[in-house]
Amino acid sequence: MRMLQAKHDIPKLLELMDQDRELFVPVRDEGGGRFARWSDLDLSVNEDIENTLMLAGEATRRPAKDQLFAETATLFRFRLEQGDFHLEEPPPGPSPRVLFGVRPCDGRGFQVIDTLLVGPHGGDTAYQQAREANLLVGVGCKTPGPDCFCTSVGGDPHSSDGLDVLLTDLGDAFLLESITEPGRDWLSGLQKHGVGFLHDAGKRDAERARVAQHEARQRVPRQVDTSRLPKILERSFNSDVWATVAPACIGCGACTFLCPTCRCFDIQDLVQGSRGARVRVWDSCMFREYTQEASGHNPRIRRAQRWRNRFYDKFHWSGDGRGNPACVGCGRCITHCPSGIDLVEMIERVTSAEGGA
Amino acid sequence: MSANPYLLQRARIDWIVQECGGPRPIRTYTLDPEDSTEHFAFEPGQCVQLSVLGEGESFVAIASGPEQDEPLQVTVMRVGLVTTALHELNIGDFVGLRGPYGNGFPVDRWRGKDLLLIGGGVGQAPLRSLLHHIEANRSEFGRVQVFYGARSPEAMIYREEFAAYEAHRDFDLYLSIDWKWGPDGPLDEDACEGWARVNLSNLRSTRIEQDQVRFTGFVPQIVQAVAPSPQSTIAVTCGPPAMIRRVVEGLEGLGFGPDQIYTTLERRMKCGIGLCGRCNLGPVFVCTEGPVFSYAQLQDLPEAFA
Amino acid sequence: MSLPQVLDRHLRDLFGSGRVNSVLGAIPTRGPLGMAQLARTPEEVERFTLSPLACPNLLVHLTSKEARLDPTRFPLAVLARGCETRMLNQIFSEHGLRRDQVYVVGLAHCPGAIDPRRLSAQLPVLRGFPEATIEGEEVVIREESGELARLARTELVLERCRHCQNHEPLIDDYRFDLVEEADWIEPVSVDEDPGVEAIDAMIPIERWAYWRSQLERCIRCHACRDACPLCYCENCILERHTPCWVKRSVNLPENTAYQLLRVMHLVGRCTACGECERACPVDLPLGLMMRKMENLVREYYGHRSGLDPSGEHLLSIFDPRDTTATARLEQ
Ligand code: SF4
Ligand code: SF4
Ligand code: SF4
Ligand code: SF4
Ligand code: SF4
Repeated sequence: MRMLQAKHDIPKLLELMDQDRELFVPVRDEGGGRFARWSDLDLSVNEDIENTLMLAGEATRRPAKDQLFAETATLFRFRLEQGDFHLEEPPPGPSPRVLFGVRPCDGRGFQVIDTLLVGPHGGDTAYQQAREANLLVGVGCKTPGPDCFCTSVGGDPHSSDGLDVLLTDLGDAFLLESITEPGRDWLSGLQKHGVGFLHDAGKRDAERARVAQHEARQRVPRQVDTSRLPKILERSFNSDVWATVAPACIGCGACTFLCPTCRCFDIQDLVQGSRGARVRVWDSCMFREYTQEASGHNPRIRRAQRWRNRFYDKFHWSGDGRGNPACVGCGRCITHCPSGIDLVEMIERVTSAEGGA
Repeated sequence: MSANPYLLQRARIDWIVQECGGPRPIRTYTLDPEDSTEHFAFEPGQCVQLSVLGEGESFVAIASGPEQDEPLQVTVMRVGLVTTALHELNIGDFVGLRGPYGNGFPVDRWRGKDLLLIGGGVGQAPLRSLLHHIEANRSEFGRVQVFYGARSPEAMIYREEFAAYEAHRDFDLYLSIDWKWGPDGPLDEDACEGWARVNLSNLRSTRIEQDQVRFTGFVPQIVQAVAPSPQSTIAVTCGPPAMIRRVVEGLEGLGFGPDQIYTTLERRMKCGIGLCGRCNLGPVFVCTEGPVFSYAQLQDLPEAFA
Repeated sequence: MSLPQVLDRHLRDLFGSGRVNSVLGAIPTRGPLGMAQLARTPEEVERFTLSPLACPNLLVHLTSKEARLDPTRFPLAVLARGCETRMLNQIFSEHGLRRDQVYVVGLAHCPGAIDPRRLSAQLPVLRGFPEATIEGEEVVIREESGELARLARTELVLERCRHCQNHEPLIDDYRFDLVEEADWIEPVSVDEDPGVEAIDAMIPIERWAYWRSQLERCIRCHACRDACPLCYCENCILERHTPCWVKRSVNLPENTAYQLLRVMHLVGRCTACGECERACPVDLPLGLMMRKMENLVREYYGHRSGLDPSGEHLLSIFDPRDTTATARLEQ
C-alpha cells in the first residue's frame, strides 16, 4: 500500500497518528537528539517540522533502541517481609505505540536484538512486549550522516528491514509504503481518517521514490569491504592485531550505549522500604566489571580483550539472523568515541593485517 | 509470547550446614521449592539462580543428587553481594529460585566406564551431585576414583560424607590439603599428622599405601602421584581455574584424550538464560551451553581458559 | 605529518639510552581527532603527530587500570602540553605516579587544541586523515584532496583552551616549542567565567532545575569517569558491589548520585581539563560543573590543583591554624 503526504500537512498527520496509538518521534535535544513522546513535546507545529523532528540529515544520536530496550526495565516487583518475600502481579504491558521516523539502520538494529531477546532461549518478555506494542514507521535517509556505512554491511539508506512502514522523501512530500501486514492495516486506518491530506500514491510517485533512493545510496559517505571479515576472523582471534587497535580505547561505554544493536544488560534489585523491583539495566562489554567475578577473577581484564570481543560480536559471533553482521553501519560509535577510534578504519586495519595469509 | 523467564518461585531454607569457616565461609542449604509440588527435576552439573530479594541473584551449581528422594541442596561460598546476604539467612527463611539451567554432565554416555572425579574447594559441589547419582546407580559405573583437595583439613567441605565413603570404601578416595609454601618450597613443619606427602621431586614414584586416603599436596600433584589409567575412563574436574588448568595438563600427560576430560566453567552470570551476554566464550554462552564442557570442546572456544 | 626531526631524534634517543620503555603520543586518524598510541620501539615514534587535532588528554593512559596491569611501559615518556603538565603535577602530588616514572616532553607555546565536535559542526564530512595547522587566528584544515577550510581559531579550540592559563609546561625534562612564538588566545578569566557566572546568578530552585534537566539526560555510560586521568582508584566507588553506592538504573536520583560522587572525588584534584565533557556522548555540561567546583575550591581553600610541582594535595593538608571552610564548618 502506497500513500502520499505533502510535507506541509505533516503536523496534521502527526496529530492523527497520536490518536489510537501513542506517538513517539525523533527530536533534537541538547544531547544530539533522541526519541520522545509526542504529547510531551511543546512544539509549535508550524516550524520547520522536518528538522525539528530530525526526519532529515543526521540521525538522532541516541538510537531508537531505547524505546524498546529501555535503559531501565522492570522485570517484576516484589514485597519484602522478614526473611520472606512475595512477588507482585506484573503491570500490564505497554499500550500500542507508533515510533515515527525510525532510521533504517535502527530498524535493522532491532532485527539484531531480536535474534537474542526474542529467541532462541525463550527471550526477554519486557522486550518482546515492547516489540509487539510498537509499530515502526521508518524514514529513509536522504542525506546520510558523516560516518554512515550501512551499505557496507548489508543495509541501505532506504532499507525497510525490520520496519512496518517506510517513508521516502520526495522533496515536497513523503511517500509512505507499507512493508508488513500491521503496517498496511495501520496505513489504511490512517487513510480513513486522513481524508483531505493523505492521498493514494501513483506509479509516478513510486518511480520518483526509486530515483531518490538510488541517489541517497550514492551519498553514503563511507565504504569498507567487510566481505572478507568472516574468513579472517575465523583464524585471527589470537592475532597481535588486537593489541594494536585497542591501546587508545579508554574502556568507556559510549560506543555500546549509542549502538542500535548492543543489547548487553545487568540485573539489579531496587528497594525502597519493603517494596522492590528487579530491573534490567544496560551494561557494556567494554566495562571491566562486566566480566569481573565475585572472587576477583576476570577473564577479560584487558581492554584489548574487550575490544576484540566487541568486534567479534559485531562481525562474527552475532548477526541479524539473515546473514548480515551485527553492525548496521550507523557510524555512531565512530563519531562519538572520545578516543578517536574509528570502526571503519579498524576494519581496514584488521583486514590488511590479517587478510594476506 | 513466552512466560517471563525471570520470575522465580519461593524456596524455604529447611536446613543449613556450615561446611567451613574462615574469611570465605561455605555453607550448604537444603531448600524446599514451593511450586515444585513434585520433585525439582534436574541433572547433575546443572545450576540454579538463587535470589535474595533486594540484593540480587547468584548462579550456583546444584550440590545434591538428582534422585527423587533427595532434597535440593546448594553449597555457597560467601564472596559477593548476594552470597553474603544468603549467609545471613536462617532456617525457615525464603530465597528465590529459578532453573535448573545449563547442560549437566552427559552421564548417559558415561555408563559402564571408569570415572575420575577431581574437585577442589567449593568446586566439589557439582561433583557431589554426580557422586550421589553414581552412588544411587552404582552398578552402572566401573571403578570410581574421587580426588578432593582443600587448603587445610578445616577448609574441607562435605567432611562427614567423605568420612562415610572412607569407612565404606564405595569409591577410591584421595583427599588432600595444600602445601604451605615457603621461599624454598613446601614448609615441612606444616605437613599434618596422617596426611602423607607426595614425592615432589618425582611425583610418579610416590609410594601409595593400599588404604592411604589423606595426602599433603595440590590436587594436580596427587593425581600425578596416583597416575590413574586413561583406559575406558572419563575424568571430570571442577574447582578454581588454576587447578583445572593443571589437572588437565596432567591428565593429558597421563594419556587422557581431550574427549575424556570434562570440566565445569565459572563465569560472571546475570540472566542465566543466554541473554545478558557476559558469560560468552566466543559465540557460546556458558549458562546455556555449559557449564559442563569437554576439553575437546574448550579447545575450540575462545577465552575458555582466560 | 610526522614529528619535527629534532623531536623525533630525541624520542628515539630516549629508547636508545634506556631512559624509557615506551613513549606515549598521538597518531592521526581518518577523523577529526588524533588517537593515543603507545610506542614501544623507536620506529613506532615515526607515526606521532603534534597536530592540534591530537586533542585527547594522553595522561589517562598513564594512570588507568590498564597501565597498572602493564608496569613494563614505565618509565614512560609522554608528550604533554601545559595543561597536561599541570595535571601531572597533581598526579605526582597525590602519589599516583612517581616523578621518575615519567619523562616529560613539554610542548611549549601551545596555541590550543581543536575540539572535534566544534570542527565537525562546521565541516561534517572529514574522513581523509585531515591535517590542521594554526596560522595566527586561523586554523587551516587540509585533507589529502587539498585545503578544505580556514576557520577561526577561537571558534574551534577546546573549551579548556579558552580558559587556559598554562600554555607553557610547568614541568619538563625536555622542551619543544609547538610554534615559534607564543600566541595565545586571551583566556577567560577565572574570576569572570561567564558559564560559572550564569550558574551563580540563578536562585537555588533555578539552579537545581538546570542541573536536573542535564542529569536527566545522562545514559550512565561512564565515559566521563573513564576519560578522566584523575579517576584511577583501584576500587572505584561507582562500580563497587559490596557495598553498592550507586545502582545502575538510569533515572534522576541515581544519575545525580553518580555524578555527585564523581565530582566529590575530584575536589581539589580536578584540573578542569574538560576531558569528561568532551567524552560525554550526550553533551552534558560537565566541564562547567568542574569549573564551578574548581572555583569553589579556590574560594574556600585558596587552592588550585597541580600548579606547584612540590605542592601538597589539598585533601592531605592538615594545619591546626587552618581558617578555611572546613575549619569554619567545624566551629
Ligand atoms: S567509545 Fe571508544 S574509547 Fe569508549 S569504549 Fe568504545 S572504543 Fe573504547
Ligand atoms: S557498531 Fe558502531 S557503526 Fe555498527 S551499528 Fe553499532 S554504533 Fe553503529
Ligand atoms: S588547555 Fe592550554 S595547554 Fe592545553 S591544549 Fe589548550 S591551549 Fe594548549
Ligand atoms: S559521559 Fe555523560 S552520559 Fe556518560 S555517564 Fe558521564 S555524564 Fe552520563
Ligand atoms: S575536567 Fe573532568 S576529566 Fe578533567 S580532571 Fe576534571 S573531572 Fe577529570
